[in-house]
Amino acid sequence: MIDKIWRATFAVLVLVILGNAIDLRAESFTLKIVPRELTIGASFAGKDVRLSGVIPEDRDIIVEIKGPQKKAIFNMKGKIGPFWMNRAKIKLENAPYYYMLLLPEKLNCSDICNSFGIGIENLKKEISINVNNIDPEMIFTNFIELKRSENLYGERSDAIKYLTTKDGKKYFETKINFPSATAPGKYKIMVIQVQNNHVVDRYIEEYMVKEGGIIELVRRLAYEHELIYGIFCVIIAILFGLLIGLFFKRAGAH
Amino acid sequence: MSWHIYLPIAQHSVLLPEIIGLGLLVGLLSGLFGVGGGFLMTPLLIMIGIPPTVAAASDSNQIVAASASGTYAHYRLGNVDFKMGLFLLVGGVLGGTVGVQIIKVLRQIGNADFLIKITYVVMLGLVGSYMFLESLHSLRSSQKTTTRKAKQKESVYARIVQQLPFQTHFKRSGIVLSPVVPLVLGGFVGILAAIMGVGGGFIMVPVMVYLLRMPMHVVVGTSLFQILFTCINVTIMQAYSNHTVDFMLALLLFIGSTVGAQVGARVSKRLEGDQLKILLASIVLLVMIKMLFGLLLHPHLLLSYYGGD
Repeated sequence: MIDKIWRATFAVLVLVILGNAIDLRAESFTLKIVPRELTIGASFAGKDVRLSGVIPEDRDIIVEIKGPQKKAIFNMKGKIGPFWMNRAKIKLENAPYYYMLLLPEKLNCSDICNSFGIGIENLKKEISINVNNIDPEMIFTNFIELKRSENLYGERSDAIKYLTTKDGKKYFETKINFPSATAPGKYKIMVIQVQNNHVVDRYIEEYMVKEGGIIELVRRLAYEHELIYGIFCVIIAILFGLLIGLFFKRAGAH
Repeated sequence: MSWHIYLPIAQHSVLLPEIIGLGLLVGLLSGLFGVGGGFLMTPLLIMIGIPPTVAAASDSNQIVAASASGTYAHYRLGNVDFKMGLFLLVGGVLGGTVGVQIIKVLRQIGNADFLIKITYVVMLGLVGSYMFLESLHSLRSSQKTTTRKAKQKESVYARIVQQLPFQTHFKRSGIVLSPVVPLVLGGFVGILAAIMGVGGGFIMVPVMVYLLRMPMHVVVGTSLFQILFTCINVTIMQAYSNHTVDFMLALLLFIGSTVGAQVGARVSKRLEGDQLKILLASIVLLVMIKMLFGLLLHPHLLLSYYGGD
């Protein structure tokens, strides 16, 4: 009985010490994101978001950015007669609209990525494709290529820079590029700490991308008040046409 | 200052000078040659990455501005046959409504973009070839031969038209014709306007000259009047049913196109007509060939976003 009590006491002590150690490590990690949220305005043409912070000296970091979950419906082209035309409507479930993996220099992610389930190749396990008669592998490959062509999916090695090392701490910096085709919504930034090819810690931060100003106004009007929006478009066009006509005071060809 | 502008419905960022320049170029061609600019505008927008259905719908919106400007000017000159325009308009509204529904159904089954592209290829091919050959012909052959051929075609057509009921006198155009003809032709142009996002001027003008036999000075004004209302209908229907009208895109386009059309109309008076027509026909045929290759060659990616959203 006494032996059991001793064992239990020892286990609790070990947990407390380990817990403290984890807390200390947690304190040695900081993260700063600038700007704190992203607004898509009329002049938006893509933007870099700066991530910087501190990790323990003997560790590396990997940054995964994912989101938002959006309805993902695509047309799949096929050859009908001599023409390449849309042959099937493909619906992808659980496919993030944006996915980016940022890696530091000289870090081979393949083992870590596979064991921790991160990276584009591992998205295959999360995404479900609802279609018959078409090879899902071909759809997935084309989906990734389409997203890569818009800079919405990517894996970038050498994207994380280590600046200085001081007092057992390593200062890092990286940039997340949100391209012009970025969708508004909730994104998840996961900072993974790696030591000796093993994941030792992770930190998740939510990041908001929202529409603002005239973009938000036009989109809301177009989707929530369709008829008013259509009439508004026509009235402005007529007024503009008449104004230009008056300005030139002569017939405009169509 | 950023030269980029984000389009809320297309969800695509474009270069401001590129879109205004595109509007100016197409407006200039439109003013120079007196044909519609929409049939060139929509494929050019597709080429710079605007989703086809958004390009077509927003182009309809910009044609409202261009045709409003032109109709007003022609109304002041007394060049609009409102009676004829009204029949063309009724046909156009019905045709436009049918066209929007066709697009809606085709979007659901995923064929809308293909239909827009193939309609373009066919129409650009027909109009481009016709303009090219007609201009070449007028440059080479004598006026006498052309008149004789035109008369032969008219005589066959006239017999069919004369048998139609409700023969009506159209005072401004100085012709007697069954309203069924402008109703059917207006309907046909309305369907094309909805599918292709064009005003239909490049089809309507030759139709009015050769099939309705209206005098040329009344043709342009009446065509613009009809196109104005057809495109008003198409714009509202597209905004209401498909959410594909990008107002910001349309606004940028009509800044360029209305100014370009006015400048083009002034420049056209100083230039040789047939050479310019051949040049335009070549541009039209090049756009057609580019689109045709797009349909025939193996695409780089087999997957594309569904519809325009």
